[in-house]
Amino acid sequence: MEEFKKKLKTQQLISSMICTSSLAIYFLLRFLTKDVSDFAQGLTTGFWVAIEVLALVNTVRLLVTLRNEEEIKKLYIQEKDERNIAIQKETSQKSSVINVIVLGLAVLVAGFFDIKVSVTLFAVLSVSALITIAVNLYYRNKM
Amino acid sequence: MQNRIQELRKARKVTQQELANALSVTRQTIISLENGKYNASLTLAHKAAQFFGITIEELFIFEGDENLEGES
Repeated sequence: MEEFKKKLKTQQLISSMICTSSLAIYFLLRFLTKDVSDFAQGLTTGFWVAIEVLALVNTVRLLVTLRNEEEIKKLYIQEKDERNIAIQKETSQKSSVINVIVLGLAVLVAGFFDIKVSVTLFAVLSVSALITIAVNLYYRNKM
Repeated sequence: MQNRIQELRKARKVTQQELANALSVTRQTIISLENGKYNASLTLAHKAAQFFGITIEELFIFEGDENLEGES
């Protein structure tokens, strides 16, 4: 449980660091993206705002949790519950298979309409397949 | 794999939540175990057997595995 508390404190520290540095990073992003299109700039800003909101929610949630031993135990059980972990594993396994199938079909369908889109989708499919193989090899060596 | 968790829990007048707290799992896990929808890991099986003061073999009923039978 002490290890878990340390982990929560580290998470809270990272989240609050993201929150406190929000303005600095916002202006840095604006500076770095000053020459790009409005769309790209808006996309970057929107992405950062989303991270910011998540960090803020996470900071508040962890601050409340860390003050109450009962809440820490609840969160510990929720995170370490073996059925929840099994569900997460099964979900990510199945969804990655479905993703690959859907992407494969999309590559074929897009080929009839636009070669650029089809090639882009094929590149995405290849990268995601490579990531899956790399992660699989990592766990084969680890376990 | 079947188990006697529900039977033993009711005999000892323990609620699902109390058992879940004692085993450090969620109540949903206890419900799934009792319904036979989920098979416990070795660690959880050991904890549950310890809680009821019996062996794993007495708590979980292993019905055999076709693959294992085929190998022997």
